Amino acid sequence: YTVVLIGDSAVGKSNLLSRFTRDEFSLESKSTIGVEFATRSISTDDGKVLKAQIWDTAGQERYRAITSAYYRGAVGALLVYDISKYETFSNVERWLKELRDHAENHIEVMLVGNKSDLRHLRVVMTEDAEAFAQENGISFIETSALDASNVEEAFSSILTKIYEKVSRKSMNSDAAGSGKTKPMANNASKVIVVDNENDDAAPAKKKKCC
Amino acid sequence: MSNLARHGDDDLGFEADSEFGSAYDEYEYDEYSCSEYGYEYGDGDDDQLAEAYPRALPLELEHALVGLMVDVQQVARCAFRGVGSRARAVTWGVLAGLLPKWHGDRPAALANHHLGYVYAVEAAAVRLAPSVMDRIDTDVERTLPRACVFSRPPLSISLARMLRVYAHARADGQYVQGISDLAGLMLVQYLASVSRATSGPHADALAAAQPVLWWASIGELAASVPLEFLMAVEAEAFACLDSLLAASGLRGLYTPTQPRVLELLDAVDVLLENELPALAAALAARGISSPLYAHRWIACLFARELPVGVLGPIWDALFAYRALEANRLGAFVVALCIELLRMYGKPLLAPDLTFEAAIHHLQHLPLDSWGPADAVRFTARAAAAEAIRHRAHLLVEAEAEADPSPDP
Repeated sequence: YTVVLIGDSAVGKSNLLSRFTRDEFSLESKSTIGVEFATRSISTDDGKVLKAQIWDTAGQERYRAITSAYYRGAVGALLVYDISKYETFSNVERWLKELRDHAENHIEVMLVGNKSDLRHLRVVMTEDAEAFAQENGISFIETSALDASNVEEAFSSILTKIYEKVSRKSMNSDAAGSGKTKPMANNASKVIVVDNENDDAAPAKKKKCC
Repeated sequence: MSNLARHGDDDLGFEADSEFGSAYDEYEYDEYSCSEYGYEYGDGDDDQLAEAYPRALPLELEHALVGLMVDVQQVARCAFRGVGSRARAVTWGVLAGLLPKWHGDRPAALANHHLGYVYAVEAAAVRLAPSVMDRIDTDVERTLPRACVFSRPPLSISLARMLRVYAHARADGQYVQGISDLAGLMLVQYLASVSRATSGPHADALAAAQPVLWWASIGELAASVPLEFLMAVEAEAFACLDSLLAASGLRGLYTPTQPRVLELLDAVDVLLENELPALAAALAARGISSPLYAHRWIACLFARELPVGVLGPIWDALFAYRALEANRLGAFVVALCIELLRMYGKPLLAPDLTFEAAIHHLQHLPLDSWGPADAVRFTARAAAAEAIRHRAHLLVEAEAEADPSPDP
């Protein structure tokens, strides 16, 4: 699945990605220019292996006319803000609009309050973020890329939700009698579901394209 | 008195009438009015360049720079071949138009420029929105973080000032990421160049430093020079940056919607399809277009891709284009992108290469082992290709004018 990381500059998107894909955190991270990329596979409860392509976008993306290239084909988005900087939370609404304008209609979105280790500097209350997420029909979690808390959970949760959504769509389309699926023009957007026959290196078996 | 403090008036008439003094004053004194002066490419990261381009090149450059009037065309031609770090500041200054052709005009021009920069700093401090200043401060700390030179004064202050002035004066009060790498590297290369042209323990340490220690040396150097001197270096580095970006619409790399980035990325896609069709097809088959890999190349003018010692010769060539063919500078940047793809595109033709592997290859090109001579060869090939494209374009236009097709 293609998942994009979006949110204001310096909220910790690149470190969330490196924590999830390489279990690394860097205090010396540079600003992201353009887009960077990493992959990781996870297992679901029902034994499927989900391969995620995660795109880390620049925090200033919403100022740019280039976003469609990055959002095209994304089935999930982690919308990240910094719990110690209120402005990054205020801008979440604009990021949501950005997603609605450029991304797929049914993209799964999760609001992520990062830097939860900075308890003494917290300015965004958990309840406020929860309420915002509820109002907008998106899920919510607080994470810390520094101490790794909830990072795994955030990515696993959104990937599982995407998987469930895709599975439901698949069942619906089968029930509707179509049975066939169209491959995506853009390989970056392909949905890859790999059977968990404990061989990650085996060629991915394409079950369904979104 | 600091070893970088100014020498007295020199015999070329460089007088200290700027309130800062000029970074060039002593530079020119040491480099160009001393008969024993010679480019000794035996130090640090210039070794490879010395092998590829022995003393004939620096002498050409010296002749072009030393006369009563600078031969800008000749300096630009030399810059295409890389000028070495000691000559970099004066070369960029000449090619950027900061230093007038007539030596005698320089003190007044520099004094005016320094004063103008001080006013611009004050105006930016008053008028720039606090949120923009915050974004700049955040990015200053994150500029070349491993080098640790912009995480503390005085270079953090200098870089923040440059970015504020640019945002206020050139980007409608907005700040766009990418320019901090450009400005930061221009500042330190400029400082290193000026200091290497003088004598003294800091300059010697810098010249002797291995690449890994280079950054520590430049940090120590910046901390030891008088603030007035650093401010002069900052003002002149800013002028070079501003002049480079004024050419060929490159300011559009750092305005909010980044129109020039989009145009240049489109040009990369078109040229790739025309000139490297197999590679273009291989990338298209994997859904890879230029924004996914060339955005950073263009938005940082390769500052993120190459080590500082290698970046110098490439920026020398950019300044040469700025002086000789300013309106084709954007085309040259695109030519550099195409040349990189030509050099490193072969692995991408493998039929079984995955999307992930292809993107990883493009975003992490193996450029760490490059030396300055590699950079000079790279820019020479890109410039030759750009010139051929330009001539072909002119030819097509001339033919179309000579033989207009009849109206249907």
